[in-house]
Amino acid sequence: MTATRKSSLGSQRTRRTTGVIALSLTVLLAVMTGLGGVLLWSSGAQAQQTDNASAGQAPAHQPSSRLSESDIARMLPSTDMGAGASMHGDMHARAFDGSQATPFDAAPIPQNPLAPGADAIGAKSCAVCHALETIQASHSLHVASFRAGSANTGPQASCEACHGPGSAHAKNPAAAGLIIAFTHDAKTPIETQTRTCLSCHVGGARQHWIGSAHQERGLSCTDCHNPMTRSSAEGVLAKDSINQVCATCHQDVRAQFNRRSHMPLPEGQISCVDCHNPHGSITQPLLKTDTVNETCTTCHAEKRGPFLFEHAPVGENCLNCHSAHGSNQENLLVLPVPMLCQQCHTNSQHPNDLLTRQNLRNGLVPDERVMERSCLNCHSNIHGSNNPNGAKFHQ
Amino acid sequence: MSSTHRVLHLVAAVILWLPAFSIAAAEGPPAHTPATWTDLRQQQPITGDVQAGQAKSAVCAACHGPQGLAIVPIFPNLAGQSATYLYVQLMTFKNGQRNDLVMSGQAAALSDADMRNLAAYYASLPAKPAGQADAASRGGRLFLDGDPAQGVPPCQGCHGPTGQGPRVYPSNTPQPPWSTFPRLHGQSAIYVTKALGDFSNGTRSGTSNAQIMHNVAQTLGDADIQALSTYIATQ
Amino acid sequence: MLKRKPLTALLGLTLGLASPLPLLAQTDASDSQRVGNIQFGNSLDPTGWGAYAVPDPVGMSYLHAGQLRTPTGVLYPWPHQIPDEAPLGTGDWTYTWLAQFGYIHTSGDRNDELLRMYSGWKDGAALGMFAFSALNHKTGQYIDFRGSRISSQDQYYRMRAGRYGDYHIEVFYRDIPHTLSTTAFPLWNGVGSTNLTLPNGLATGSTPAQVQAVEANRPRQTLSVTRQSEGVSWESALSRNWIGYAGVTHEKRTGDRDWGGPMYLTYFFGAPGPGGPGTPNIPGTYGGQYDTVRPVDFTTTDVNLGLRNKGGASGWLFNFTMTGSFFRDNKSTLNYAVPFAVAPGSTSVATGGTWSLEPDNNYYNVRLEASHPLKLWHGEFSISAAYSSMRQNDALQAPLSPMYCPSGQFLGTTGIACADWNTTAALSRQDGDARIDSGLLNLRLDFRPSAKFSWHLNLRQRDEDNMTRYTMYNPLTGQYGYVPENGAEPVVTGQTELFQPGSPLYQSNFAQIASIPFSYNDRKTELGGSYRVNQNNTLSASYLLDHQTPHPRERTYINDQHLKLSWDTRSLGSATLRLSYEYQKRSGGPYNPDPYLAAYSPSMPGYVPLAVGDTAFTVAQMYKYDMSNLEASKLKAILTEPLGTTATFTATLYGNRLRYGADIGRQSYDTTGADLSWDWEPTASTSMSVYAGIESSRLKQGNVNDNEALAFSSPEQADTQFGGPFFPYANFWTATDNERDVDAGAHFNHVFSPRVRLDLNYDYTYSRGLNSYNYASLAAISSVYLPFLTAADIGNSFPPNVYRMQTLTANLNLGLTRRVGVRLYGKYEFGNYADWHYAGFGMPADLIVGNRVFTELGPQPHWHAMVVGVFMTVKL
Repeated sequence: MTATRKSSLGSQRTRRTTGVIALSLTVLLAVMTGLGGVLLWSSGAQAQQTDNASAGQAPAHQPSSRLSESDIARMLPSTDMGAGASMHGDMHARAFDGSQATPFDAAPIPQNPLAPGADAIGAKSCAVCHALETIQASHSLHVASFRAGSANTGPQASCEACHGPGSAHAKNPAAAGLIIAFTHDAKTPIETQTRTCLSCHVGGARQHWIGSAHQERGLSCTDCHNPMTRSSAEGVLAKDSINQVCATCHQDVRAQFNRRSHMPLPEGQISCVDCHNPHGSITQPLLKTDTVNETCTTCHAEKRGPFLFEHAPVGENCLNCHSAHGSNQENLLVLPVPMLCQQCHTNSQHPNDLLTRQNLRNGLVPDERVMERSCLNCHSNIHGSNNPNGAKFHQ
Repeated sequence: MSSTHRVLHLVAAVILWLPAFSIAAAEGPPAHTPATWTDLRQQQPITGDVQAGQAKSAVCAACHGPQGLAIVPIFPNLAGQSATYLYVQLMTFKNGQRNDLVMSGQAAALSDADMRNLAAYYASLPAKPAGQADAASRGGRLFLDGDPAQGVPPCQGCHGPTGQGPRVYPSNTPQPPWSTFPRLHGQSAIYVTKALGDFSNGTRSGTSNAQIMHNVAQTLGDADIQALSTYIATQ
Repeated sequence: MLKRKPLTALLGLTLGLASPLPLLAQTDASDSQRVGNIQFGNSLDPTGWGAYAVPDPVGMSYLHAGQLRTPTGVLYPWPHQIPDEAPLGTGDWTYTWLAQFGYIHTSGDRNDELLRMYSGWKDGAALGMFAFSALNHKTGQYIDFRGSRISSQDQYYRMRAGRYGDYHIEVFYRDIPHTLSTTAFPLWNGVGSTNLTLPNGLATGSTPAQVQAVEANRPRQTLSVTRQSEGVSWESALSRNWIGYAGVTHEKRTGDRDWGGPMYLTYFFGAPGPGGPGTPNIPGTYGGQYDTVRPVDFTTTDVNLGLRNKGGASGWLFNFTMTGSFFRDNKSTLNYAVPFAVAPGSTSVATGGTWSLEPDNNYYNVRLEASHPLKLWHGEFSISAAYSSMRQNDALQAPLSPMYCPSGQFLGTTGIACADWNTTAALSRQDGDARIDSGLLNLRLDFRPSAKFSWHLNLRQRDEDNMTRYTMYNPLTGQYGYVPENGAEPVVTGQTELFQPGSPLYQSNFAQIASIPFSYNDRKTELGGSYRVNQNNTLSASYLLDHQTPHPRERTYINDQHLKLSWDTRSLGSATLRLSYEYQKRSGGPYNPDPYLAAYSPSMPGYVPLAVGDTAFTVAQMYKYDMSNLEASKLKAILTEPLGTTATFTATLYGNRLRYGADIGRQSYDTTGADLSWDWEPTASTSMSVYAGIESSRLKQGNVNDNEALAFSSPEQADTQFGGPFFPYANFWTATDNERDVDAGAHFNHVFSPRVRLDLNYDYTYSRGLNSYNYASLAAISSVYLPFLTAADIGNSFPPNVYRMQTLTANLNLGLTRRVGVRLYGKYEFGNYADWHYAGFGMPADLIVGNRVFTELGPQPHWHAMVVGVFMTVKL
């Protein structure tokens, strides 16, 4: 009898689901085994790749006449964020010539499409005029890492590894665009800016930058990061904290954290980036995990279950009942209980009554369905129950 | 409300008002930062009365020449110089951030209006005609291209490709105080050598611009300074 | 290499990567991949870096005044003063440190729940900040430590160390407080344990007056949960392009929180008050609700291990991550004795209840992401696949507790023997054996055929396989189903949720007899493109079809379509405007109001329908809002306007209009809001900002009371139609939640002199929620209340909910010497709070209402509190 029930409830489902799950597993395995092959192949293929890459690049020096649209198209970054080995090959070859140096000082100098004829001049020349900038930047993680290990030679690449070759700018600093700039009114296209950063900061958290909300809306790395100063404890941020950075644009979300119940963000205990990956993700809205629930249950692991008895909307999406950032109700609820529950529970008898102010403690007919925890006074295991008597979450 | 509560409110009030007293109290100890140099970063281009400046210029002509062209190479030419640069120099002479045996005394007597007028007057005079500088010389290379190996930035970036002042483009972003950058062309080699020496050894360090020029001059060797001075003199 | 980095080498060897040359990829220590423990701060210093936020009056550049702006147009803040460094030993290391320690004093309503929610304020010594950093300028090795402590429940210590671009290790320890109630007066002894016992003088069968007398003298307690966590993580370049990372976090959550305890509904049993209608009724003496306190004693251990490749020669960017999360509940049951008999005179059984709290669970996730550039149209191909499994196999507990339903006793007159239900022998199996697996596959193609145009196609399929099947079958009795509410329901009403084929007593019972294995599969197909009209204008559009196949739910499939349009422009002077509009339309298969029949007794062989049929499961016209049709429009505009060179104005305007195609269920949800802010940074030593925002939202829902007179007595009870005899129009009602939120504030930061620095913040928050209702006739309320209530009594709304808080925070830093300073911290907070759930609960005796025991009085209606701190700051 039990077995019959089991199959009638879920056999069809199981078969279908198993299909996709098996597929994802297969993909995982296939790519895993592929990794080994790629590794073996990679060292051999590198030289070839380097040739290809340099052949595909725009000629380094060309007449600095007006660029046509097709010129720009040719110079556009391919969307691989500079993942090609050519970007890194030279750099490492030079970096590890037996010295203790970190690899940064041999970083490649990105091309600036607006100054195709410019040459690199080295950080020494930059620091002469940009003296304060140099001091500030040297104390931020980013440039500090360039400086490390280059005490003898000077951190020559530390400016131009990001700003591109500087000779044209040095000769005519007032003309915008002659170095890669990352600020407002910069003539450098946003794509060039982000490509420059991504040529080193490739993959990892930024694996899904292309096509991410922030990429599509034209944000640059420097909208959130400022590698020129140390404003924040970590993350080379453009403001003192992650939360301040995000609130620059997402003011409405920041306001939600002021509400009666909220995630402990104003208290400094959590940041937007605890849940969201601003660099892009395959799960909307920029979540770090594959679903909303997986994000929530990282910290609220007890609600993960699975339970013997599940509550349909819980397993579907925590946001069915909770507003993640803050709410005027207790426990981040979207609506006060019992109204929250009565949106779906119109069943017969006790769930579907109109409950009124007279059902409050000081009303004429105080009612357990309204006072204090309302529905949750009894159905406390609302996220799921593991009690054999808990089908209605009240045990 | 308990009495502790009330006391604490009072404490809070005091804390919140403290700054009012602190400002006064803080006047005492000298600030360790920008007071040592004049911040020119917000310096706007100045204007002055050319006529009035001319009227005041008799003393200046003794050294800088009747037409603003120095009579001996130890003095700078003033003709056609940036008015704002001239004004800033007079101002720093006057308030002691630039020192010179003669000029400090001369500037001390000038009012702010006098300095503006004088600056405007000399700026209005025709500059020394352009010369035939050798761009291929060491000085020319330094002026035009700098020397990345030594960390010398090209002078032309701020002083213009011909030493006649920087190239400026309209922009909404914060810009350097271009008008405070001097035009160098045609200054005597002796004067330029002295100026670079003063920047290099810190004698002349009283403005935010001088902070930059200090760094620039430090990258130059004696021979570089010679070559550069020669090039500038012939510009 | 083997000697220097054994872990690295080990990982390298495992993967067959051991390379003769130590060519290293650059690690970047980015944490934006894993959830949690990114931010370390507290109420004393939310950024965790406040002690270093000392503006440097020299500014950022000798070349120009003012600060530059971000590409969007927001000013970068002025740089902070660079802390002094000193050489460490004789090598290439330098170090710097800062310590800020002192005393915190709280006064006023220092115990207010909302003041303490996430702040462990406590009178006593506190560590504002201790920070230590050391750096080897030659090798790029570094170590960074920072920590802060308000109290033992609110502290963090964190160390990061490594070598730039090479490896990175992080270790942390932290405590985060969460205060849930400071006005709790639990009736029971044993709060915090798994066994709540009645205080002396009370036993099951007490009268409300007796319980009230005891409750009035119960001590006030604070219910709170503290998260104590520690973790270690590592990331390292293994070879030229490979980066490995791993981390372990261990979190312990301890405390108590409010919980429930049902012993059957009591509202049925009230009687008219002595003054007749319009006077408070006399609460009934059947059933009982118990607002108990449950223990929280959890540990969660998360392990993650990953490997990624930065591209390299193959051009593939890989990221492979394995995650395991192991949750353990050290107190997974809660027993509570009850003071009231569930039925007068029946004290021998159902003298308490039992809860299964959350079971231990394990979660595994394997994830692989890979992307590769394409030659065609500067394209990129990207694939992500993940497999995850959530499992739970806790020992199940007996349906009823032998303490409260001892063997030898029977539940009321039902003939149900406690002995048949108070042992795990009554279960169809002994363990949870619950498991949900899911698989995800995401494929994406991005192309940029020209400089102006790009487009993408994204396919995503995620499927779940819920393998949990539990049949409520008692081998001792041969019955399916369960004995509800700790046996209280059978005692009070004689009804059960039991089904037994062939038993005249139980063969017609409508009862849930099995678990329902919900699973949600979904497939998202998105096509989008973006066109750069010119340097300053970009238009984007995308279309997303989200095809969901939930099971078993009211619809077999849902098609959720989203059309998004956006316009990003810099053509309005120097301003940046980002405008987006989204239109959403959701539809799906036929709506089946009761898809769960397979889990109920009528689906079983041997079920004998009654002549009067089964009571309608629900009204047919109700659409659950996650399943119903939906037509939505969402508009949002964000404007960033630079003002001169020192100020920025930002405005956000948004509006959402959601229309659910339902009369019963959620009908509509509208939100409209605006936020404005102005930031000003006139000089390096002064900055200030002012902000204000308003949002109003309105959610409307409908519902219908059933015709209670027909239940169990007429075949019409099976009629599910709205407007039919069982759900008549006259019983229809609606409820509207109107909320209005206002927030405003000003921040001011100024360095008066190098020795005097002030930071002043004022923040104001006000929200007002009004829950109003409308009804077709008084039949919308429970028929038991008809004798007591008139339309005038009912009115049309609950009292408003109000939350208003004003906070003034000041930090005054006074420099005494170059190294030593004083920080004076003051925070004055006052507010008021009203929530109708707690209306009428003024003192502990109010917590007893008939057969109901509540625990909390709710947050204080008004509070004024002040926190002051005096700190000594010493730095290198």
